[in-house]
Amino acid sequence: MESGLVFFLQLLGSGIAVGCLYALIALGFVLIFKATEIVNFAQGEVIMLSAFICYFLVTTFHIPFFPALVITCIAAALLGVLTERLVLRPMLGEPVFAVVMVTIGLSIFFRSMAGILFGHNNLVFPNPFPSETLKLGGIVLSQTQIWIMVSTFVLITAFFIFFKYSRIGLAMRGTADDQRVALLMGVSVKRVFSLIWALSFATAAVAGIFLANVMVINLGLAFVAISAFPAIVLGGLESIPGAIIGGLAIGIIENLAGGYLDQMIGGGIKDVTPFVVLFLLLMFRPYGLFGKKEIERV
Amino acid sequence: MMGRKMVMVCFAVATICLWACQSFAERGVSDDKIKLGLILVKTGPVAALGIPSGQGHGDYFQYINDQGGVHGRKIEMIWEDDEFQAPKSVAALKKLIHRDNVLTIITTGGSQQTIANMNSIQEYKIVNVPNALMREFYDPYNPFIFAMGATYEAQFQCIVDYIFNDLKAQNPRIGVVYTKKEYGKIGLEATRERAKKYGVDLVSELVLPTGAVDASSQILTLQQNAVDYVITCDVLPPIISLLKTAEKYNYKPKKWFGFNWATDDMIVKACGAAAENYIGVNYFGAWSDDNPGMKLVKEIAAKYNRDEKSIGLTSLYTYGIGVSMLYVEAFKRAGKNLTPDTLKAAFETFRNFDTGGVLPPLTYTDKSHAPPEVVRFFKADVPNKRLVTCTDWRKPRNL
Repeated sequence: MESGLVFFLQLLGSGIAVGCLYALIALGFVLIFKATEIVNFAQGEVIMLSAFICYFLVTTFHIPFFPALVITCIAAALLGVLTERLVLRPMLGEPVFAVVMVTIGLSIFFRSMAGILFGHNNLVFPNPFPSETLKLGGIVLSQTQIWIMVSTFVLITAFFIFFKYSRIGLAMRGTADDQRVALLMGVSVKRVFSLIWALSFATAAVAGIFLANVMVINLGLAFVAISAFPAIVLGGLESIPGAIIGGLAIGIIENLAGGYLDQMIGGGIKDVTPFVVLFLLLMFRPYGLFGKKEIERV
Repeated sequence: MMGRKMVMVCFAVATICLWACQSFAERGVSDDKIKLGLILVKTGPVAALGIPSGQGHGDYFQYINDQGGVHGRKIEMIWEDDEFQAPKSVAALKKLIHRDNVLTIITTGGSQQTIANMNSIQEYKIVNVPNALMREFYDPYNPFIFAMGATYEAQFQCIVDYIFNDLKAQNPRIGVVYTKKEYGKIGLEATRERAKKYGVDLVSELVLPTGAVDASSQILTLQQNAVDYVITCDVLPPIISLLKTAEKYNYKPKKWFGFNWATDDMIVKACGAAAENYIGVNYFGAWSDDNPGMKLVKEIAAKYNRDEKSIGLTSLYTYGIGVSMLYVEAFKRAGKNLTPDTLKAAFETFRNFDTGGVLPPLTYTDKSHAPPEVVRFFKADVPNKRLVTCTDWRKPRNL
C-alpha cells in the first residue's frame, strides 16, 4: 500500500479509537442533560475516581480486570444514586444556575476526596490486554483500542435497546420529553432521575477505566472531560447518537489535523481544530448536529 | 502636661522599637528552634511534583533534629500548599511571614509563583532556592534568590551536544516534541538554536499537550519524517504516553531524550521495553547511584519508612533532601546569630560545596547566585527498571 495512504489510514484508525473515548465521556454528560437539563461539571471527577478505584481493585486486591471493571461500574452507579439523592434532589425547582454551581462544588469535593483516598502520585495501570497489535490493512491498533471500540459499540447498542424497548427506558424518554406529563402518566420522575445519574456515572466509569489504560492516572485525569466538550456540543447536548457521532468526528478531526496541519502550521493546531470546526458548525446549527431545535411561539 | 505627652511619645517609640526588634532581628529563630516555611503544591493535578520534594525537605530536617539540630536548635518546617497557583502562593507567603513568623521560606513554588513573590522576597529578605529554573532569578543579581540547577536552555544545549559529540551522529534527523508551557517553548527554542550551530535544522517540531489523550499523530509524523533523535520537552505523564504509542507503531528512534522533569525511574517502570533508548538529563543524583550522598538519601528514606513506591518520583525526593542540605550547612556556617542577612552571607561562602553526589558542587558569592550550569546523563536500564548515570557532570560546550 502507498505510504501516504497508510499514513492517512493510521491517523483515521487512531482517530476512531480516541473518538470512541470521547463518545463514552460525552454519553455520560448527555444522559444527564437529556433527562434533567443539567450539565454535570463533576463528570470528569467521576471518570478520574473510577480510574483510581479500578486501579486499586486490580493492583491491591488482585481482582482480574473484567470483574474489577464491573465492580467499579456498580460502585460508580451507586455514587450516582447517592449524588442525585443527597445533592441534586434538594435542588429540584431551583434555578439552573444554582444547580450548575452545585455540580461545580461537587467536582471540587470529589477531587479533594480522590486526593485524600488515593494520594497524588502518578500511577500506571497494568495493561490487562496482550501487547501484540492488530494490523488491519494499513491500520495498526492496540488491543486496548480495540476494546475501547468494542465497549463503545456494546454500550451504544445496549442503550438503544434499553431506551427503545424497556419499560423504564420508555419512562426515561417520557420524563426527558415532558416531566409534568410523565408524572401524570404515573412515572416516578424521582426514580427515573436516580437511574439516569446511576447510568451516567457507570458510563463515566467505563470511560475512566479505558482512559487509565492509555494515560497516566492522576488527579489531572478529571480535566480530560473538557476535551470531550466539543464532541458533546457538536453532537447536540441532548442527543445520544449525537454524542457518538460528535465524539468520533472530533477524534478523527483532531488526529488528521495533528498529522497534516501540525507540520505545516505548527504550534499545536491539533488541539485547536475541534474548536474551530465547532465554531463554524454552531454558526449554522446553534443546537448542534442532532440537538433539539427550540421554537418559541409568542 | 508637656511631661505627660513626652512620656506617651517615649512609650510609643519604645513599643515600635520593641516590635521592630521582634519582627526583624529575631524572625523565626529562638534559642531552641528555627522556623522555616515551604510553599509547594501538595493537592491538585500537579501534586505529584510537589509532594516528594516536600517530603524530602521534611525528612532531612527531621534527620538533623534527631541528631540534635543545628547549634542546639531544632528545625521546624511549615508547609503551605499553593495548589500551583500564584495568588495562593502570594497569600501563603504573607501568612508564613506575618503569622508564623518564619526565618525564611525555602521555595515559594514554581516560576510564576516566584515571579509573583519577587517584591516580597526582597522586602522581607527571604533567602530562597526556587525550584524553577529561570535565568531572570539570578541575572541580574538578586540578593535573596539562590538558583539551583541548570537552566532549561543549558539542559537542551547539553542534549544536542551529546548527540553530536558523544553519539557522533552524522547528519542526525532531530525532532522535538514539546508542550506549549513556558519550559516547553524554552526547550524548543534552545534545541533549535543549538542544532543550527551544528549546521542542522530540526526535522519536526510537534506539540504534545500535558493532558493529551493520544499521541498517535505525533508518533506517526515522527515516523514519516524518519526522525532518529527525539528530544522531548514535557513532564512525565505525556512522555509515558508518547513512548507507549511509539512501541505500538513499532517506531524506534536511535534515542529519546528528556529534561529534568522527565528524568525519573518512573519512566522505565511505566514504559518497560518502550523506554529502551531513553536518556534523561538531570542535575541531582539518581536513585541507582552508589555515592555517599545518595546512600544518605536512601538511608533517610528507609529511616522514615518511605519506599520507592510510596515516594513516587524519587528524583524529586532527592532534590528536596539536596536543597535542605544546603540550608542546614548555611545554618551551621551562620552560627548562633541567625538572621536573614547572616543566612544569606552564609550561603555566599559556599565554594564548590559538595553534597556527596546529591547535587552538583555549588558556589555562591556576594556577586553571583547563579546555579552551576551542569547536568548528568542517565540512561534507561530496562531489566532493573531504573535510570543509571552514564556521564559525569558537564556543561554546554563553548561553540
